[in-house]
Amino acid sequence: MIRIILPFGFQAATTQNSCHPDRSRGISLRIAKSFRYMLITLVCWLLLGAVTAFASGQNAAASSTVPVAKRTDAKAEDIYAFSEPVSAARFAYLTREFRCLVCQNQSLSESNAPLAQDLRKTISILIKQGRTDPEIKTYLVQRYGDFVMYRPGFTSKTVLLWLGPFALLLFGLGIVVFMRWR
Amino acid sequence: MHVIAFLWLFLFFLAVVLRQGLSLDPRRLPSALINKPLPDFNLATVEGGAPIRFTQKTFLGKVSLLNVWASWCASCQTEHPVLMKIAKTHEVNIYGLDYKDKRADAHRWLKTLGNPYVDVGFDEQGSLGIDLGVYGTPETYIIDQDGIIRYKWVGPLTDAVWEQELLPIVQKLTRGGVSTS
Repeated sequence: MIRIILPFGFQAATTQNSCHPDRSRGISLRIAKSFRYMLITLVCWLLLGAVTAFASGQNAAASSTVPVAKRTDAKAEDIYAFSEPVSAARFAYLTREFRCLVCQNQSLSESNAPLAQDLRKTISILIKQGRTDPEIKTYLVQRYGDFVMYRPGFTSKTVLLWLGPFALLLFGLGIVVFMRWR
Repeated sequence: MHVIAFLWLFLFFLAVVLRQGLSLDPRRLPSALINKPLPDFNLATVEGGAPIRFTQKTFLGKVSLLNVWASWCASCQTEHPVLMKIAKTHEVNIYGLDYKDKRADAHRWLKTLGNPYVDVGFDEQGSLGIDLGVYGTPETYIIDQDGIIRYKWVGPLTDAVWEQELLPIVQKLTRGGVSTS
């Protein structure tokens, strides 16, 4: 039964006599091969990730020029009419950068929770007061913590979040290199 | 074969970490204001009329609880008997913050359910709520003698939560209560 559960590569290691010197080399070769496929998959995944991230970045840049009043998901926003289109664009951009802490998978722009409404209002006021984007981000992070941002800044607390995947990738690469070297 | 053993160990470690992640509640967020002083505020109390007297200075000199509630909040009603019990123990002063509420509703609430609060600030617009990082009522903060936020509990208090989580902190702060300012 164990055979079925184990991922490819590990099966060989557990089902064969690993103490036998002749066989162990064959096994490590098989494992090295399976890791090569894993590596290829990882690289493909990384490339795909980079492409989609780039594409969505382009999208965000394009859509942030759309005035917020025209968007269907921001019904109540007519009251936050901005005299300058730049401010409207900034409002649209900022409300999409922050998480609504009540409905955590919705941004402030999408959510209709009372807290999201209040924070939209607060952001519109801050924009009208002439605060810059980084100032508004600090304002919210000081009150609600890093979690309020979908893309938190690079700090000691978020270092694992940003670098974790790359550390795991390096770890995998290290294993592959070690196996081939053996 | 050491590598295989090492890999298994690593996978096991990863599984433990991921399993741990599942048991965390994403709704229970740490407050960004722990160990920071209370923000500036000037609020009228829920009784109204009297001049503004609910400020951060209200909290100086003793350990207190700040309970954020509203009459429209169902879990606040569940929590209310627990607050009444805590008030009777005289372990700590309880202050309330009536969050985005109507005065008449709040009055009715305190009259019918009882008033465990020394004083209740009236935050009609939710502005102090935003400064405190309130994202869901009820929330309860522990404020020390110097007006510094030491702890935040999100969600209704229960007897168990009070006895196991908040009371030890309150007692520790009270014991170590030499005001430094």
